Amino acid sequence: MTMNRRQILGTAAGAAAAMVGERAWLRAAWAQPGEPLRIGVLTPLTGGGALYGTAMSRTYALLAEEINASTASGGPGIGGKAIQLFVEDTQTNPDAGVRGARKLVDVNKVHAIVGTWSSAVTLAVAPICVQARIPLFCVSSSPAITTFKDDDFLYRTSTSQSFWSGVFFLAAKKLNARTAGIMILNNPYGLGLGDTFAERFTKAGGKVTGRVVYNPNQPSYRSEIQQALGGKPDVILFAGYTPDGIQIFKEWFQLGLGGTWMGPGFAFSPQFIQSIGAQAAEGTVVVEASPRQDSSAYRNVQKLYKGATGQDADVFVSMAYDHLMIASMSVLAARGDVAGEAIKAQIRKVSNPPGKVVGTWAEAAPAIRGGDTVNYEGASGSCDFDEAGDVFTDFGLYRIKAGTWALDQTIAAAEVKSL
Amino acid sequence: MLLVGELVHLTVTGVLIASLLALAAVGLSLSFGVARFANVAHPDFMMVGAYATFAYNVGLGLAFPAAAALGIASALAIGVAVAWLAFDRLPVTGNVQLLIVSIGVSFILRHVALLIFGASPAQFAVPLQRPWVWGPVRLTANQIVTLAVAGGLVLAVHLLLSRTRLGRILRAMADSPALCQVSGVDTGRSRLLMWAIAVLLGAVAGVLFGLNLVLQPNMGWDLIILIFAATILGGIGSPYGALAGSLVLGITLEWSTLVIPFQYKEMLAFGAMALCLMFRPRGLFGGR
Repeated sequence: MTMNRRQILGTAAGAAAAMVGERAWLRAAWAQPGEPLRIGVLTPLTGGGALYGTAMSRTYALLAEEINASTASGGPGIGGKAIQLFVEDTQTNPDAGVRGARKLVDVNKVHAIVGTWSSAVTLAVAPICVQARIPLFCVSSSPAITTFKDDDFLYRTSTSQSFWSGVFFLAAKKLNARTAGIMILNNPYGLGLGDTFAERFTKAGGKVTGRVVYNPNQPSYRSEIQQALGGKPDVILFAGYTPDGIQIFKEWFQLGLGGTWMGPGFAFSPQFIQSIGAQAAEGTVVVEASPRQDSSAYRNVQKLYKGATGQDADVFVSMAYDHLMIASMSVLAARGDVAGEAIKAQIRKVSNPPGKVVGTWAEAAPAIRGGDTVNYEGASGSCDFDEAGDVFTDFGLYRIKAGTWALDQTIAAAEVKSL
Repeated sequence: MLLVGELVHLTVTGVLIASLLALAAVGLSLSFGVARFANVAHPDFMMVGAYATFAYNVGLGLAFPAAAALGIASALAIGVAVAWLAFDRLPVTGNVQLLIVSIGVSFILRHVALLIFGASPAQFAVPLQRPWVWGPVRLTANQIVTLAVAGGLVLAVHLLLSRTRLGRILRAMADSPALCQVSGVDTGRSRLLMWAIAVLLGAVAGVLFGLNLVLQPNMGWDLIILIFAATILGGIGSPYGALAGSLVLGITLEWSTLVIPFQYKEMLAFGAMALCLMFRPRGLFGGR
């Protein structure tokens, strides 16, 4: 037992002398101090979500490394408990996602799974997590995730599409748009967002002048673009992803048709702007959960991610950071108990108000250890989970100016809820 | 008038798609005629050409024309070496076995690209262009270059096949490899030259694709159905047919959007293909 713990604490050998007192505290209060917190990282590393999934996977590794090296909780890692990651690829495909989840649960005996991206994958993996009694943190936005019978094991850091469509409706209103074109990807996300937006927009007296549903991986989108822009709408809603967005915008610009696009921030990401160039992106409206650029969580993930990759932390990277922070804080608050039920019991306590506002391990760990109630304010949003495990965050309406998002107006969560 | 404008726009788009498809389909058709198996890795030669150019253009910072020339040359070396090793040297015979080998080659090529370049869409360091507008026709300089290069190369293949000794040999090999061999033709060497032509056409198509759109390791794979359809529609083994097949497919793909929503356009295009094949089972130019 002692040997085991020494091995786990091995990395801290140099600091051991200074920590004699701390160890006594740990020994007295902690359940199984040596057993690591095993986290299953289940993101798309290939397929449609590869772009985001690889970045998320990287983020989990970076934060785990930071927490494992930190002694903020009194011992390295989570009070002497190392975080151990097991990575599987969902291939953006429910079948592969289920295979990955089964392996993580049965072979690696993980205590939580983080990172499922596509809604289809999340909904396929969730029953496995519920059965294993471990939490699942996802970034998917399908409304079906709200109603899924999850015994409170399913959490998401992205807002539901039904909320998103309200946000886009308000954005169109704030832009004084009376006509809109919609260009949507042929999948549940694109259709869900595009059509619920159109419904709200027409009900409020607006007119949809062109609706185009496109398939990904086309050799050209010229005709689709022409059609969506046909009635010269005040604004064109884009509900797709970054890779198809890059291709569509490149062709749109080269058609010279003009028009104002609006779309979600995960599509019009910094990488998107870099790819199509500041000139083509200029003036495009970006609607995104205000990434708490002022929060310590965002500053920290930006530091970690940019330091490792040279790229800015996008919204999915921010969410990945939030997942692992919340899971780690929950284990610390549960005094080292890594059982799924124990983690679950702490999730809302550490992330919802009231409590001391924290955003990094260095801020959170000493506070939790000191017995304070904490309120995690994440990098992707405030991460306050409702009964369904959903979040509602304020959104920002940005305009791309000289290659960066410039905040134009805010869309408060309360405004959307009152629609 | 509005409809005419739309029809013109759709036709131009269809021809642009067809020009890219045709380059790949002509090469595929040629290799099918001579090597007698469906090379599933053929569209991946597009990807190799595009990423090799990307490496010179963005990685080493060379100007685009120089990078494209070097990229196509590198792709030629890689592609011919791969085809020679996998399709000519492996002790595997039979069309089905070679088909399976080519699926493996396709996976390897794509995953190597994924490993080196990552999954993110990549682009050449070429600024976006504003189009020239002639009524409903909107074309950028790069798109005109694409049409010219594709047209020129297809014409060159035509001349090669009809006017040169190599062309005669390739056509003879497509008809009867055994007869060719007993007539004293070095079939191994001719096959190698055929791979070179096929890879060259594919690599150029890839570079043009990248110039107009974006690069992804799956870029060839995503087009595989369209490329094979164009080849089959034209008549397997007939390069002229591949050109015609590409045009028919590209234009029906776009025209079909006048009557059905965009997400179903493949349905009508492939329906048209099925209809064509009902009346001409060996393809538009098949039936030799």
